[in-house]
Amino acid sequence: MKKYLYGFQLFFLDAFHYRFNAVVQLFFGNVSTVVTVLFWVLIYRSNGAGDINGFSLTDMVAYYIVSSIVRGGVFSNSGFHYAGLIKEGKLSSELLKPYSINASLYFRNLAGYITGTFPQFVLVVLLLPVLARAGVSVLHVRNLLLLLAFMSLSTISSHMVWSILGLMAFWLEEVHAVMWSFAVLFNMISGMFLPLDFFPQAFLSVIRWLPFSCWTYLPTKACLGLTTPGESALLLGVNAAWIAVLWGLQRIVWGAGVRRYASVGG
Amino acid sequence: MDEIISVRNVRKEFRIHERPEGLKNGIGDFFHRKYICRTAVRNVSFSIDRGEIVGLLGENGAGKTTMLKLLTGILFPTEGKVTVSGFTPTDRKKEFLKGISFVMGNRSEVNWDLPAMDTFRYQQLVYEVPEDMFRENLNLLSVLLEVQDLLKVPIRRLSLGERMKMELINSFLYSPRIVFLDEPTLGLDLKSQIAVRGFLKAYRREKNTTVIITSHYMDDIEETCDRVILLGRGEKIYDGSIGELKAPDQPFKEIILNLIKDEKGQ
Repeated sequence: MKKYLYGFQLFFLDAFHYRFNAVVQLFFGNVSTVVTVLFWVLIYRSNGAGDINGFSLTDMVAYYIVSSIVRGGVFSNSGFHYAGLIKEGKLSSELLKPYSINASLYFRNLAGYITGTFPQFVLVVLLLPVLARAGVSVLHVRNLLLLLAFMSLSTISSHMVWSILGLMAFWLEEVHAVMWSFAVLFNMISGMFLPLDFFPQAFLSVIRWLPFSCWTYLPTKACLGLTTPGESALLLGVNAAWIAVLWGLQRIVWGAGVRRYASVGG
Repeated sequence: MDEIISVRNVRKEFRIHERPEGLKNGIGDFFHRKYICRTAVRNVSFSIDRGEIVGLLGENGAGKTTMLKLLTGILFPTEGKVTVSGFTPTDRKKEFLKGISFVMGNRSEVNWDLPAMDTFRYQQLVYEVPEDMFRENLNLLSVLLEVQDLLKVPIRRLSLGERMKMELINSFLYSPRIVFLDEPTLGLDLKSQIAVRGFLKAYRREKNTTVIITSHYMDDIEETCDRVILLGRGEKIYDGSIGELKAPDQPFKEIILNLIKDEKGQ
């Protein structure tokens, strides 16, 4: 475990080596969230109605602010990283190390998430009083624990799903277009673009049992206190089961793929 | 004799996409792809004893690097059996991986932005090297390679020769029982080449490590190796001493002359 944590530490050192870049990231990391929130403010104002699909403007703003922290925990980088290692032949060095390539990649992404999401944490902390005045309590202990539990599962399941996609490079070599296409689909069905409540009920009743809803929608709703303890416990169990299935699937794909690895580039 | 590496009737084939030149052919290729099967290693057998330094010699494309990749488990053989230290390399057993090291002259293992010392500490954790052994090895290696003053300088600030020396330290830090070196002097100036060769000889004297080195520089092989395996178009065509190989009546004179010519024109 120590080696993975040291790899984690090296990532931090690396990220803060270029100070100007780190500071710019800190100040501009929230631009997309702020722009999205502004869009929704405009939509609500032009609509004139108090709520859309049961979401008031406050609910919507709170959803996007909280989900800005949550969605960074979707480790799509795992797929791109695997694909790059395979295509460029850099997997060779990883294959020689006496560690789990999968675990090493997971911890590197975790370090990336913590460094990359720092601006969003700052934004949420700054907005806490505003959200509290509007009746949204993010600091409820039960809600925070649920957020943490859902996010722990979402980092692992997203790492698994994206790894499986990245491992397709063993067969296809170049998989970026495939992965970007899946990214759009996954972002939609995980609730990253819109809360899943906006979709038809029949669709939602299916999608909530898939691992993708845990990537943004469920943790955000849990953090905002919009799920019951029983429902949350059931969904946490379902997502834990998905991780077991995905882990098995990833092992099968890895086992078949690594035999085809050509280690190009000398 | 104590056999540490055994290679029996190993063959490695690659399926390669043959891409025609020009736009018209390129469009045709999109719909109808042509693949060729290239045999990089053909029915090669040999064994290596503990403590030997063996040179894999051959022209470009002779199969030297592929052979090393088969010995280290990066590639799966199409046919035949490879055993190293009693392990099948492709099983990637932790004990096997902790006992080998593979230095690739054209690939960097050390972190570009951080001082070498950070990478060495990471290597210590990955290979579970006790602190005393780490200190002792680091001291020995940095003295042998004369880089004691450079351990805290970011790698990107070092010259090519200095970087190669850091790669060597990184690869020898955990006292591997078998070291695979692929073109370790590639691109280095004469002074650095001499330093690397001197280091290999001194290190072998000190630790009795088994070393397999590929190079198409005759000097690398002549100065460091006890024995030479000559590969030509993937086949083993000679296995014996360097003195016998250079004898006037040997049938491989043309290959040797080409290698010497390459070296002079480097």
